[in-house]
Amino acid sequence: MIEPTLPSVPVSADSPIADLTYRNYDGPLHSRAVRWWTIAVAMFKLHTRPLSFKIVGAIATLPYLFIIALLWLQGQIASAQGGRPSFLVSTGLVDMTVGQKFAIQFYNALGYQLLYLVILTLIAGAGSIASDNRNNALLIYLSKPITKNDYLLGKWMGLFLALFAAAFTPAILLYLYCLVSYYSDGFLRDEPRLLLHVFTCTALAAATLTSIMIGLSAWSKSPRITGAILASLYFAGQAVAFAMWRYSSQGDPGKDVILAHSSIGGAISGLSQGIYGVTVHTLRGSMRRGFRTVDYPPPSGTIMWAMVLGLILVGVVAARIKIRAVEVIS
Amino acid sequence: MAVATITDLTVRYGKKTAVDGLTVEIPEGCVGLLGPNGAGKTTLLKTLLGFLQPVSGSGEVLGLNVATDGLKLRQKIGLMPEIDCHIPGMNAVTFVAFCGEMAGMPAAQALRRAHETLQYCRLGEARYRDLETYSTGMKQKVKLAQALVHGPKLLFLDEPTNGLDPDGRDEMLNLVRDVSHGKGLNVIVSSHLMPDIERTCDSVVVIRNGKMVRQGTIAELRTLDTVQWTVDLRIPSHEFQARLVEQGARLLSNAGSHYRFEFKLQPGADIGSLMLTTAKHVGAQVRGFEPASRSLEEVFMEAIA
Repeated sequence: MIEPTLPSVPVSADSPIADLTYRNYDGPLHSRAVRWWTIAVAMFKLHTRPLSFKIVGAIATLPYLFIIALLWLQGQIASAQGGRPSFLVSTGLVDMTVGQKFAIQFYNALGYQLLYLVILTLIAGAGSIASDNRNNALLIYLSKPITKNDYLLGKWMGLFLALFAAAFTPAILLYLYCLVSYYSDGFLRDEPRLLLHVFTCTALAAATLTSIMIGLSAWSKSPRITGAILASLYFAGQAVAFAMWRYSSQGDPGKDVILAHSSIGGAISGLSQGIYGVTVHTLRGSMRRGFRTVDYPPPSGTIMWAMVLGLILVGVVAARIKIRAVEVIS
Repeated sequence: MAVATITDLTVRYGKKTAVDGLTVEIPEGCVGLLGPNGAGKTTLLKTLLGFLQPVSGSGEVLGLNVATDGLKLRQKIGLMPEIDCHIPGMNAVTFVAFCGEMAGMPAAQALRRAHETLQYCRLGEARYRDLETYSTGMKQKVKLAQALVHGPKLLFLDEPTNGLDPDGRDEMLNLVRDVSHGKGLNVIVSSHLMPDIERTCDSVVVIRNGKMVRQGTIAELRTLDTVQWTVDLRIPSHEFQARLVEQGARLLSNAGSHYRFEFKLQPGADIGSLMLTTAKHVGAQVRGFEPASRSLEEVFMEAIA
């Protein structure tokens, strides 16, 4: 047998670590219960690191900044006109109805922001599990003392936290602006549970997108294809749902509202409207035939909750089925 | 004491039986798991890690049941997979530290260990580079580092020299040899490359068609049942060969001036004198002679034949 040459130990000046011999580790170990969190934190850092995520994340704050500008403008015009509502109210941009004056702004901002959240989901989440599948990383993860539930929870939480941070941070800025500017106008008195609603709506939007993305990503080895499928499901689904609703409602905007919300974006939007409890007023018509205000009350809360929770569940279960340390071909 | 005790273990992929009623005790130290492609080596390692559920039989690794104590087992085992695998978007230090954290190490300890193990695995300053930019040899070293980071008691190395150039192979085998001798770490090396096993392991288990066909220390397995000697002459000599055969020796092989004979002699017979006398008699010049032993390759070929 050939006697191998053992690795030589370099002098300390050559290496930052002087003693290069192998030593066993007998130090402290965390319990298994917190190991999913390790994955979540690592994934959060990975997801939020790309420049594209930071840029789109910054753009995603614009709807809330726009709302801040709108509220400020309304306040300026109203004070200039001796308290009379400005044109912003008549155009429906600002709703002065007590109880939903601020809630509707948060609802609108989330609606505008949803597009950017989808883009962020594509940037951060498309490769979440698909890249692991492509690089056989599951073998690394699952050869450590963690279960596939720990892995899935960590992956889910990492993406969720990234999306939730992008959705909630500008929302809390708007909330703080409203609190500071309208505290004396009864902001907390009129809408006491607004902060809870903001938290719930942004969390549900992030959770829904996260689950669908994780579910799709687990079944693929290509982040690009995963991203393309989510984008198709989101945008085509929304277009089809809207077209079906237009056809079904025959011009009556109050009819078959559920159909209009039968898509990923629609379900999130419908549920948010229900949680905020706002009735949306919009101007419909034309210059020739005149304008009329159309009210859209929130769709059935039960159905919206069922749709959103169903989407979350389907995504998670789809991912759970597919995650395996080794590909077993039966 | 056995590191792993496997009793009548059967693992199937659908109708295909990969491990077929395997019963084996794997001793402490560095053990080579030998077998041709598709023999069931990787399946056995995956079953021992709890990735695959056996159809029947049982297995214990480090005193833990492979079917029920998967998590505890993986705490004590480090796996260096055969296939190329890494977590995209990470550099080597982040990756190895992350692996340490997943094994339960506190973040600061994991980072310190990551630096140590990467230095030990000879990655030096390259440890700050993205894993996607690594060569095959460097990826193999990172895989070894991530398997070592949490201080396992048992290391599974699946084809550790896969895709390595001679220098890389040499370095990897040195590392395996170093880590498996005198560091309190048991190692199971799965490979079909005899020289790798011969260089790193103390004992081997040979598997064929999911069954154990040979086991023992390398020294034992290489020992021949009969008395065989090899002789090197300065120039080939037919007379020398014929004379020895006349005296009861059997020629086993002859390549140029290199001969291998089997002797049927009484215990205590002086084979050296016999060969020297014969050479003198026929006028042949002996360059050297020694007791013959089998190579591991011969043992392997016999076992899987």
